[in-house]
Amino acid sequence: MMTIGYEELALGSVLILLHAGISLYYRTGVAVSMLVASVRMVVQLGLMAYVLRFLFTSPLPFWTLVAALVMIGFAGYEILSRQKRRIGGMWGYGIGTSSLFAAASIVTLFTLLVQVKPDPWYEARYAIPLLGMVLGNTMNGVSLGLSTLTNTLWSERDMVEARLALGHNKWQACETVVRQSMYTGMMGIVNSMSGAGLVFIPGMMTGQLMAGADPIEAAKYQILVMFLIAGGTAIGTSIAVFIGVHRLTDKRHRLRLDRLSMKI
Amino acid sequence: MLFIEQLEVKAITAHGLSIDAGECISLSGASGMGKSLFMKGVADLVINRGTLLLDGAARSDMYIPDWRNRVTYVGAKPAWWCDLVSEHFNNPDWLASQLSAFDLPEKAINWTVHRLSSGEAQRLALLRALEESVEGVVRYLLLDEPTSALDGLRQKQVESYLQDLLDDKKIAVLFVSHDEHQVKRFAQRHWQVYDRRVREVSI
Repeated sequence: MMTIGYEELALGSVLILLHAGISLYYRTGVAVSMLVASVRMVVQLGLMAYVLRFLFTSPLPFWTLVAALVMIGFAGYEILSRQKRRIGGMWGYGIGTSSLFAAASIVTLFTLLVQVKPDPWYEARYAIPLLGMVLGNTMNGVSLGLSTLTNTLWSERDMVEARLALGHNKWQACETVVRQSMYTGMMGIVNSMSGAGLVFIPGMMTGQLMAGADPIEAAKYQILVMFLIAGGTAIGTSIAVFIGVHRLTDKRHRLRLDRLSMKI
Repeated sequence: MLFIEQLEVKAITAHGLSIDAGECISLSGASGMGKSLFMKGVADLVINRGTLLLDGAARSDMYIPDWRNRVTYVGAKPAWWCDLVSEHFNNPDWLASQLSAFDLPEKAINWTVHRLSSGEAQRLALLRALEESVEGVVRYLLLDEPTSALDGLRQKQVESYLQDLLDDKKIAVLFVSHDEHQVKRFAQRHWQVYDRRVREVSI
């Protein structure tokens, strides 16, 4: 494998700095968030590398579990911070985090125990990257699904209320909104699967190819991973949207938008 | 009979009001006084507290969608969730048979909801609320400005359609209207929201 020097990495950031300069000049307002995100990315990936080096050599699976929980915790926070209208109280953080936790653990455990079967099954070299890929994609699905749900319930409240008034139960009344939220949540992974191999080579496969893997083996791994992240996204988005509807309506089949708060 | 023994919706209160099959009652009050809120409270669409009885059965003991099937709120702004008018009705044949009474063509069934004028939408939304009527079960309609988008002639068409159902004691109507003539013409009794209370008044 070709190794990359720090000079080459620095060179890679030139384009971002260029863009930052342009957007500062035109006051597009993206410059600051772009720079913050770039710095975060560098720091986070750097830290992650050291943590992984430790986990790969540590004999204690406890630390792998801790790393997994920390990753899920951060993903839950990211979901919350993407929401313009949040479900108030602990539910706001709880919905994203619990649906991620459920989806990611089901999918990752299934893969480790049934499909990839490393020895031991909790081997960090497999567990953490797999969890990361599932989490990253599930996080996208859940945050898109949830924000579609809250925004659409907000804008279509008259429609939902009209259906409730006609005697539809809360699930019937929210049916179109739920469908749209699920669709939006799943769109990213559907696009990825449709375009994979035709339009682009997925990130993981690219990495394996550049690290010298056989294309057939790399493709097999990528197919497996695509199934996993699709499954994870579907499970996570469904759970999040389901809990979201449950929380934004009540036992008496009323719409409870008073439980939403705007992001300040 | 629908009996509002006691009801509190936000700051609006009501005590001991009743409405019976065949009765038509107007609900008046200045804009923003809570007429819609009160009606939504009766239909249990918004947070409220109180004791309401339908033919002696308490609302708190009922499955709320069943309650709303009988105590049906029709909002001032009609809302749709499918593309075609017909998709909002369980029984498009029934709809087709009713349209002429509202001066709407039979082909209106297949219109898309986006092309409906506000008057057409208002009449279709009213029909939608009346669709699920079951023989022998009185429906209590809470109509929020049901004819606000209609001209005088079509207002009277709607009134006479409802009047037929009232005469047969199939429905009871509580309606909000800012049209004094309509209130005098169409309602026998009057309720008013004043000073945060709903009470019976005479005009």
